[in-house]
Amino acid sequence: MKQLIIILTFWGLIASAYGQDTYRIYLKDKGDATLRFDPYTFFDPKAIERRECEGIALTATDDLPIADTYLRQIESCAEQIIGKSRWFNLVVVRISEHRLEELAHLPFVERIEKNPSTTMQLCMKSNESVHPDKARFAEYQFRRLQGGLFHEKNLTGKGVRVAVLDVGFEGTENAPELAHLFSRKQILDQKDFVTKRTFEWKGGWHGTAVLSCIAGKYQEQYLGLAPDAEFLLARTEYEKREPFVEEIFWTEAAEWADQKGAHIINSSLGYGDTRYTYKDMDGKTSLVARSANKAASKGILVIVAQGNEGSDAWQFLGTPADADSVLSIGGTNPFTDHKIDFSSWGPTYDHRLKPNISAPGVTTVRTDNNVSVQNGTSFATPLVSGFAACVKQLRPQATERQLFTEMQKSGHLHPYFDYAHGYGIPQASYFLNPVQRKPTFQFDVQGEQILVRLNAKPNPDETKNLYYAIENDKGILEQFSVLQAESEIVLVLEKYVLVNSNYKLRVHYEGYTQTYSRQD
Amino acid sequence: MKATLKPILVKISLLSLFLTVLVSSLDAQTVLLKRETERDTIERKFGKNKKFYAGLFLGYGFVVGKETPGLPIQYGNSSELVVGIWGKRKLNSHFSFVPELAFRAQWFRIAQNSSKTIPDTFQYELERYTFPTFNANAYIRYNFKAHKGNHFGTYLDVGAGINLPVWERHRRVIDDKSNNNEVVVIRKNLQYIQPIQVTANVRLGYRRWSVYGTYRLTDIFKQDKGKEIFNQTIDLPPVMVGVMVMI
Repeated sequence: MKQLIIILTFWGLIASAYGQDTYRIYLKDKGDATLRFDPYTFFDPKAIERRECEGIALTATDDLPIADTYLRQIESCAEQIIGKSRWFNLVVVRISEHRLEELAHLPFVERIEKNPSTTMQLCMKSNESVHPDKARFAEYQFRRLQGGLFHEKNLTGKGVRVAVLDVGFEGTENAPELAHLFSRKQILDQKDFVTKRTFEWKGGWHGTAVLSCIAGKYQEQYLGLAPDAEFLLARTEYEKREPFVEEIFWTEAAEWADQKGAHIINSSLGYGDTRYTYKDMDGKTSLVARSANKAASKGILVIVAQGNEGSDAWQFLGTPADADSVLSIGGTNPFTDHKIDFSSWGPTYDHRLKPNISAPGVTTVRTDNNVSVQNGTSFATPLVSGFAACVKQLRPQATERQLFTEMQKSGHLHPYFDYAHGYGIPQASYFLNPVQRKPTFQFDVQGEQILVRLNAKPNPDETKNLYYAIENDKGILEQFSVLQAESEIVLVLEKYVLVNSNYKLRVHYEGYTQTYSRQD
Repeated sequence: MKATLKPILVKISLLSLFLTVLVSSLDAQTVLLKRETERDTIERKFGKNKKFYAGLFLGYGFVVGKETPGLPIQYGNSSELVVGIWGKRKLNSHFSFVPELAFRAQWFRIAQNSSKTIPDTFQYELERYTFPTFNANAYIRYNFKAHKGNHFGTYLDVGAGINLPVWERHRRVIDDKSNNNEVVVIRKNLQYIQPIQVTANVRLGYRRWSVYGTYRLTDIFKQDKGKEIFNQTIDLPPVMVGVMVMI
């Protein structure tokens, strides 16, 4: 019996250590910070420029830092301040329960929320797979977004500031594929929000791979579209565990990116199964989704990975991909051009379109010590960030909302969309050489059937896909599918699937989209 | 007759050919990807922190607790192995009901020393009681935190179980040095074994791993038979402590 008690006590101690609680302290006001705030010293000139472009006030209350006097008082009660957010007037602390009461009685404390419990999970990393033909994938990922068209016009992301929020940037400083970023001083700043100590090039190579997909160069081939962009690198993630406090680190990093004048935030991170339920994927629940929306409201184009759970039990997107103002990026199969199996499905729980757009989900990247082919929406995302940087360079006066809309419109499937591909893969030609697509098919209604008849018989040597989706009267897609076009009539549908005249059948084939609704 | 059949056969053949072409043209829809949203957005009910969950478990434990005078136990060599299936029905954010069915094999090795008087005073090379049992348990699980995500969390299970011995063995190995031989004696169908055992169980878990303890509320041996055969009531240590993994 004695041994049993010892073992149970030991186990209890371990369990209670894991259960150490953290709290979110929301404050009522900004106190004396209001009096001392000077936006011109607080913000980088690029942040001022961006705010002016967006028409945002320079002294919005949520931009004011948290009052020092408040922080000092919280610090005297708490065991540790883990993070803080000026946008949400929020301080996250680790504190013992008996001192929590003391904190709750401070006059400037609005409310206290217990931080959801700590969980353990590996971060959203890609499945490693080694393909021999690195050069082939490198060429493809650049070509599929028509990077060559941008580069011909000298659109390489020059003057555009991109913040990369990731787990670690191990190997970045020694990578030949990224050496130009150091020699041309394009990495403007880097910060570790996890340890709050001096930034070190460690914590895993995921961030290195992401950065290489925006600006890397492998041999003579660009891996990303924006080799001349400027970068802010932020470490916001633990490498091997996923406590909830990472979301405050992400928020801090987004605020830092805002202050430093970032135009784009790239975040190849996401939280799902072990932290939330699908019901929480509504863009309003998680702190990280609310922070991403806030960053967008400050004029930053936030580009995030949809998630790699498409073939797992969870299936759906993670957060912050659920935030309504972020561009969520799905992954495509480079061999078939439709959704790659692991790319997470949309929509959000409240049926908003996600992913917004897609990019190749198999990419050549720089890791900590070599170049390899990796899978993941983590690496599709920076391809789009590089693309967005080129668009921002082309249209410097475009607001975040305009960029968001135009990026969606540049998708190769637009105006067709579905919850696997969004609007498809962004195409540079949309911005540089827009062409009016000619009809490639027509609807042929015969009795109770709707036939989709191609204008030209498909060449059996080529693989071409036909996409169709059925949208109900609430604007929600009830079903969607991708078919391989093998004959003139590719699709035969019973009319009854369109329940009433407000239902829509939307079909896309070879750059042309048409919608059919019942007339009877 | 033949003259009238021929055009009909030709017509049937042509019709068949037409239908084959039609069907094959409709068949040309090779579906690369298909998704029906309404069905997919129904919330899952099966998962680690969902309404229902089930799986396999494997546990290994050691005998602890007080021994009967005259029946000394070799504690390190007396153990149990449990393999079974478990289910979970979530009752609310903190509580769940956890039933289990398992095969539980227990070994009690009797120390061979001067204090041993039961079932006899002979010093064997090895003496062991073996009880493979069918085992059923039911627990109430308390999760220390109301996790939102789909994972086990940290939990305490409190419950009860029954063991139904499938058979019993009393194995003795005698080292017959004079003949340079080893004699194995196995007694089956021991008359002094209870047909059912009831246990109180407790388990403290973190994620898939847990430590568990079972306390046997009933005796293994029949008290009246013990008195009749050994002139005293006898029993084996009632507590098992071990580690379990849920798969």
